[in-house]
Amino acid sequence: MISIVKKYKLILIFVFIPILIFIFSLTFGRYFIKISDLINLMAIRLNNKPLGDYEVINTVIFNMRLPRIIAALLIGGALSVSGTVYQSIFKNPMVSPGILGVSNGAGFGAAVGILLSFGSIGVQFTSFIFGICAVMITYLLSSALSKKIGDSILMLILSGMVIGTIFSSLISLTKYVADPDDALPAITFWLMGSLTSITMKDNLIISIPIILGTLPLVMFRNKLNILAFGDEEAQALGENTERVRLLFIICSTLITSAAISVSGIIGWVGLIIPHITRIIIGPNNNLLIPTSIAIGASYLMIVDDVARTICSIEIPLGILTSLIGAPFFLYLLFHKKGV
Amino acid sequence: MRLIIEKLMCGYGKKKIIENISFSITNGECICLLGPNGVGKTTFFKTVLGFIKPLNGSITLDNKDITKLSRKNFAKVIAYVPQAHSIPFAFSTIDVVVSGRNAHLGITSKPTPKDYKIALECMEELGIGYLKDKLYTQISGGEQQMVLIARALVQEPKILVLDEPTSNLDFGNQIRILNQINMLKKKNIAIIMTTHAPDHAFLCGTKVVIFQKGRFVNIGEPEKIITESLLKEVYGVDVKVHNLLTNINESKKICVPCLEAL
Repeated sequence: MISIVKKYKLILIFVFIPILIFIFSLTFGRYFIKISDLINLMAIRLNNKPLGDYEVINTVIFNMRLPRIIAALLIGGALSVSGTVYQSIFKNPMVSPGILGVSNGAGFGAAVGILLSFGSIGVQFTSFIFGICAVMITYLLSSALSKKIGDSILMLILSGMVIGTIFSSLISLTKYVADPDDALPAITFWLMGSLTSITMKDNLIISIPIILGTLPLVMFRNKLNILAFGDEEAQALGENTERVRLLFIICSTLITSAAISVSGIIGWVGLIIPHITRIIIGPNNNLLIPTSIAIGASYLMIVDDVARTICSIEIPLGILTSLIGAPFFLYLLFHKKGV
Repeated sequence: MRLIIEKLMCGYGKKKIIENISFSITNGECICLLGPNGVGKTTFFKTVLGFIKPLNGSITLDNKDITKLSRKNFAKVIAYVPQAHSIPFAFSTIDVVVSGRNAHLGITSKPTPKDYKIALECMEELGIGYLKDKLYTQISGGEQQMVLIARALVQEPKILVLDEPTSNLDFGNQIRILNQINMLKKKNIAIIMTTHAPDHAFLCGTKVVIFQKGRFVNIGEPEKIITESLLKEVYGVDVKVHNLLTNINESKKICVPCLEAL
């Protein structure tokens, strides 16, 4: 049951905050655009009139800012929702989307792609595939182990650690053999995460797996409330835990891998946004899942605004998400009331 | 309704822990499982709840094999009350209770206002309506245990399985839980519970099942089964079993441990 206060909070989070931040992000940047100019430009484009003086603004907004803002929306939402899902299925608020090895797998895929000079689409593809492969190996390993030992959740986490570590060593290996003049900096920069080179086409491509993965997560979100009680209790409450967990893992992996494949590794979002959302709205996944998407998307839009404006060269997004997120998280922890 | 457990052998993988358990339970009965730590009570428990498959033997409800039921249908028959425990997320108690409605929900649906109404009514019936807006993580152990009982009851099960429902509770809360168990018996729910206190079997049990290392020893009415010699054999300690008259002039037995004279 939703109280009135919560209802207003929800409307605020869902409608006003993301839209305001979206518009703000369009105008904000090293080249500042006035709201009135933005409105005029929209009017011109809607009426199919010649651009005239608005040529520059048009280029800045539609070719430079809009693709990044949409990417931030998609990726921020994707990382947050999969973090929220993983924290519920592993009954642990310290878990992040990378727990089953997806980030390290995707990182290695990208590193290999860069090493073999595959070009940007090729790198995205290898990264996406390796991210999924890493989680597949983790899952197969853990189901073999839990058949022998039991405790499937612990086995999943341990397998994830092993596979994650292996892929992270493999990343180091590719860096070690990479050409220090071009491939090495490219790999290093990729691993720090950035939305600089994203195009509308990239957004279109990743939106397919992200939407396909997010829909079931939203649809079945009530089951996360059940899984949060642990395996045995969830079974006693009538849930086929193995099957439901697999569904959640497949969907989360699909969206995380797709997000990372274009943005590189953006840490901290999938860990902190679920926390922040829980502080605002409570732990019930029926509200938490949609809200975390909205807050995650808003958060990454803001951080990307900072990344592209704060100084004359771009600061990698992965660095900023934690630099901004960590103190903000501390602030919330100091001010939270009994959650 | 009658649940029949026949020649059940339980264990993990190929390793058998306990075997040859047979008993039955029907509406309004309360079976107490007694036995020392490490004899396989929990293993047996997990088998009855379907967490592990039986190695041999059968569990049938009105001649239907319940080990073949889907999780969802199983949950409509047997509900589980674990020991009061903490959860990592601060759910409100009403959200914890309403999760018991899960087996009655469609595959993608959320609890409806009707489910919340059922949950609230159940909490009020158990006398914990005042907890509904509190956070589960911030109430006492006794209150948590009551919330978990409420969650199991909104599942509308035929059989309630409780795992040491009085452990970690203070004296008053223990009595409150035992009272509640007797109320549930009156409502025709069948109850299976483990306990470490033979007195609880005298107070609530219509039958008692005694477990001993690797086998199950005896089953019957608590007054007949629980004797000084049996307690000595099972637990290895000296206990006197006395008769007392209760507040309603009913003869009740009670165990008094004999401590070593120093």
